[in-house]
Amino acid sequence: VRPSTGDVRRREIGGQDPIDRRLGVPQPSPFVWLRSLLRTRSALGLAPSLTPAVIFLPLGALLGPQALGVIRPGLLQAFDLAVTIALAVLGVLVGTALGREVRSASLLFLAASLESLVTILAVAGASAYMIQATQMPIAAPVAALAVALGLCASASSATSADPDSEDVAEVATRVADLDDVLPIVIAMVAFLLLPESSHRNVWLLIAASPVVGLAVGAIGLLLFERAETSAERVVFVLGALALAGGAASFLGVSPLGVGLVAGLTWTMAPGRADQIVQDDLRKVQHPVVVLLLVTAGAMIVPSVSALWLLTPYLLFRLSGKVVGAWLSARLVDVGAADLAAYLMSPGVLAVAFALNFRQVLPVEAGDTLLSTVAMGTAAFELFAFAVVPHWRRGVAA
Amino acid sequence: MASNGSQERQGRETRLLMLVVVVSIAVLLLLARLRFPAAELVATVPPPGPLAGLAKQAAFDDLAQTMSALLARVSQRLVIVELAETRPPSRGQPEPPSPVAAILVRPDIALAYVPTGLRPSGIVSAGTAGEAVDVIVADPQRDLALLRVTPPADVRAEPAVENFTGFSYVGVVDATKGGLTIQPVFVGRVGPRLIDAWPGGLFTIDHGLNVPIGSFVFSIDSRLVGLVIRDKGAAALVPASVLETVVTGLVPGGSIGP
Repeated sequence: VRPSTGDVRRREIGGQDPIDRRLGVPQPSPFVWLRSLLRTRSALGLAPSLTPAVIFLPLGALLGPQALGVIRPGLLQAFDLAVTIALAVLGVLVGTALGREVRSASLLFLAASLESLVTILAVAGASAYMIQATQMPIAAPVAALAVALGLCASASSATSADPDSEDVAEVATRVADLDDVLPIVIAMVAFLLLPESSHRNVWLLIAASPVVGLAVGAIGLLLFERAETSAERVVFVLGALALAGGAASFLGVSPLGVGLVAGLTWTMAPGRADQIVQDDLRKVQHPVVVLLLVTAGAMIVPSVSALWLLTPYLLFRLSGKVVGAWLSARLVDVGAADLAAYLMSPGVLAVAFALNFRQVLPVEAGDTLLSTVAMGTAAFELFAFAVVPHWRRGVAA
Repeated sequence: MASNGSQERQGRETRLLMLVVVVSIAVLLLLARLRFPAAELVATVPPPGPLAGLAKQAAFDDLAQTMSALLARVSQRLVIVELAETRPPSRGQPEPPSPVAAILVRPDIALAYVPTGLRPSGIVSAGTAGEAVDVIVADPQRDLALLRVTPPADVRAEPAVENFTGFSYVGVVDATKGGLTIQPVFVGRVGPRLIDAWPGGLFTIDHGLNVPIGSFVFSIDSRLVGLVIRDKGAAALVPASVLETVVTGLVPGGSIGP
């Protein structure tokens, strides 16, 4: 059996292919093993990179006001607008992925949505039950906090998928890309559960994200391809993203939703707008991820409530992903255990959801949510980082 | 054989799935039998973190910047109301009363604390001289007044603080003849205080604090904590939720925040 060229290339950069596993190749040296663990696929299946949450969440917590105090509260407040724009950028990335996949892979989209819906229901239900049963004091509507936790838990990035030549890795990465769409759409509506939304027009609140996203998308379509220089084009792209984030912040709606609609518009509409945006976003993608993770880490406020909610968050995210993968694996023709293993890593989207809800929840509830999700994200990244590859090898054997 | 292998694997996956779900539910039910411990805890000063000794202390510049930024954010929700004596002074020309701040409760309605014996005589908007004042409702029982104001161009509603528990820094915003001003105040333990005139509990905060009567208290993240009033010679804090109830009673549909 001759391995394909692609497989040889992957072996040369240190990865094992399935044949190696069957033949039982010797264990790699500790350095090679560590390097292969660190080499993962980044969020949304773009360039290979380190697993960012494992590094930057603890770094942010260390530099934040609760530890060294290098990042001070005033600076965190200043980050707020940058975080909003970064959320819009993530929304655009998800919208672009959706626009490219939705026509050709509607079954994948259905499977991804089913998997994320099951996780949302599992975590939201368990959290709401836990809060009610233990009489935990929460300065926010229980339904709003529970749904927010469920939405954060539903995100997956498949960042632990090492670049082996397995079909399931490719399928899982695409499922992980698409399973963020439904939570973003639910988040647009979930803002209605918040107390301050009771004073506002429901239909206006629901319609604001799509309308603003479409407007930003239309502006981008009119501007991007008419730029005469690349510098001018970058200004247009960043200006459109700043508009998306700023408008969402002003209207009190989800910047992820606005970005999603804008990204979808650029991809579905004729022209090269999506390609232009993707090329330019590639330059800011990693700084955006680092900004979000460091900010989230610095905003962690250790509390009994956060620890109390962490247990149902971890257990029922695990259950939700396993059950969701079991249901959706039949739609995409892969093994349920394999799919679940690849979906364990929450990636940066979980933190993005938490930062988004923190902006609109009461302070104490927002801090509890962010701390729970940040700790849960780090735990799941470590779980996916160190445990899942060994477990998967056991399953394959 | 392949079919058997596939079926065996599916069976193993299903058993694994059931195990994960059952363990999760069992742990949740076990934890749900406990009670959240916060209600039994006594508030204590938290010990310094293990790395606190390495941390650089926050400079006064940071505090000044935070207060300036807070005033800039909340000033769009506030207007300055000039006051005058209800009865003209019998003789002489005494110093006119200090102005007070009023907070927008609707885009065109502001709430101000007007002590007994005084009346609103004008509204000072940004960059303009005093305008004539239109009092919509006066509530002499609580020394409050709702005033008609020109709606500001860009103002954003912020949710009020619920369940203020003290032990935090706040910004106390007051009006001067030159404009709005702010001072940082650390509010320690707050004591409950019931006054018949108000539809909810107030807080005692005058443990040596220098908070002007009629000033508005905001959290560091620019959310309204409440209004400082005078009761029996002492300062009391009317929480935002109580203010909201009062405003709703005076103007149906009113709320704290435009």
